[in-house]
Amino acid sequence: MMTTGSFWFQFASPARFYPLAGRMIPWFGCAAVLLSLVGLYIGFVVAPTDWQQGESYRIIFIHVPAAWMAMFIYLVMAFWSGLSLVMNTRLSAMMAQALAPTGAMFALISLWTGALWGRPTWGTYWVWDARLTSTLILLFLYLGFIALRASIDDPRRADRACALLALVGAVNVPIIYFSVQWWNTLHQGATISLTAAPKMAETMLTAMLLMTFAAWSYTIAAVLHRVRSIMLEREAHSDWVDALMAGGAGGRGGTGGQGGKESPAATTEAAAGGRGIASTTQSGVAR
Amino acid sequence: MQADLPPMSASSALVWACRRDLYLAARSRAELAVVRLFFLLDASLFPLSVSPDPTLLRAIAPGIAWVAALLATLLGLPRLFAADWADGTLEQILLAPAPLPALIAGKVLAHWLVTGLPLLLLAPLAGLQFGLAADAIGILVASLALGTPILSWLGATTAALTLGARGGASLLALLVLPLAVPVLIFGAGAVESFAAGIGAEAHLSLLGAGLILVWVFGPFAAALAVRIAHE
Amino acid sequence: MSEWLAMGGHGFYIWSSYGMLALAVAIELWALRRRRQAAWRHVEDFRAELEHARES
Repeated sequence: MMTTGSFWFQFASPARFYPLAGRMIPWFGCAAVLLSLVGLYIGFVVAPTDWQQGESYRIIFIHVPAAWMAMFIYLVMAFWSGLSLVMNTRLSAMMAQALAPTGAMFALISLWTGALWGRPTWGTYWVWDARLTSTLILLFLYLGFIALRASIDDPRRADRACALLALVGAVNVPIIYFSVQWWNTLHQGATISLTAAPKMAETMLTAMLLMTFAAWSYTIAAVLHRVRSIMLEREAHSDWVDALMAGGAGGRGGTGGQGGKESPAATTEAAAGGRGIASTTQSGVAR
Repeated sequence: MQADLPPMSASSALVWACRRDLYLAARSRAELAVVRLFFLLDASLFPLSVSPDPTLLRAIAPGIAWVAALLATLLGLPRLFAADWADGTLEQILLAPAPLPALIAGKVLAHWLVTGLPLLLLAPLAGLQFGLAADAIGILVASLALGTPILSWLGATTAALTLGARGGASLLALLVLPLAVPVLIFGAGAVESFAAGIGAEAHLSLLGAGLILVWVFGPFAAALAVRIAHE
Repeated sequence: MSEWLAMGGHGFYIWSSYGMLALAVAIELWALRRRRQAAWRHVEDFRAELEHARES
């Protein structure tokens, strides 16, 4: 079609990205389910009982992937935020917006499972180890991002304010982690560490990796789904949404039975050739 | 107001903004007194809620002093931009023919002089309340001297981001506190390490490094935030 | 079977963890669906308003 670079650039337009994302969601969703099934099978049926921790170690199959995801998602969020500030694109900001809730969810799961793992292993529900504490702070960073977005009414201003916040946060995350690590080692009693995973049998490692990939696939599917909703919310006035309503699954009883004809509608925002694309939406348009 | 200002260099812009804010602060002394009182009051709450046991208090003193300093700074943050934002002066400042980062640096410097510096003077009082030794108090003051400007800059950027956002001071607190954790850790840690005999050099140097970083990048981050707020 | 469920005495911790994960995922999926429906409603309301404005 065109040179590789400019081929991908077309997807920076919400009009084009919407159907693409729609096609990707089922694939990643299925991958997530399959990977977790296999991972959990290996983790629960194949992997042996740990001689030191008994069965409770099996929590790491979700604790560690959740902790990693919480961290990765924040970095990806910061990446999209940076991109949105530099290139002034709406879609990048929408991606950042879509990532935050899933990241917060993983941070919460990481904390919850960490507590439940800590109790049988070290006797207390909460251990102020470096990673758990950093994850707690990370959770607050996510919540702050979501709160800031919710409190600024103008969407573009919210985009940019949250983008700057995400970047400042991202710069801080390694500093926070380092300082918490430092604080931890300085105070005796820091021999307890959830980062020191049990000496892992290969099967345990395999299961954990599979669950991590499952978490990644799930994240991609969920975030793509959310960003499609965000695109609809924010681009309601565009031609391509118009065409979606016209060509997409009817039965939503939309605009008086006429369906959104290719009316000029409101001002469009550089919806790059949205109309033709809409007709390619098939099962992807999951209402 | 500043429509006919000649183009200013960075240093004169900084001085101008600092002077102006200090002058305005002098007019609202009562407001500022609250911040200082809050610091002492806050610190006093802990023995009341925990226990007056001297050994315990001496052990937790650095942490308490630092948390109190953090909260007092937080309390004083909104006034950095709020008044100027409300009457449109901030927009004028944005349009002024002077480097915005420098103007903001002036404001932040004034803010620190008025809210941070007094904490340095009050900290020994709190230290005595908690039975800290004199040299430990010295380290505490040093850590606050290095750390409170960092808090001012972190606060300035986030305060600018929350301009025109609903949620006001509590949103600001939610945003600033996680970012302030490293400062808290190294600040209080400096005194604790000193008391434990390990020496505070490492902590203080890290704080110093942070201070330099924040003075280098802070003005530009805060300036960007102020611009975003005015879109 | 019940032996396996008991997980050597650690059953509570393990199943609470996995249970919370299942709950969190379920909530997220439900929230995603709700957001999509709200988004379509928003689009329709927007269109309806436009049509109305154009007619009047």
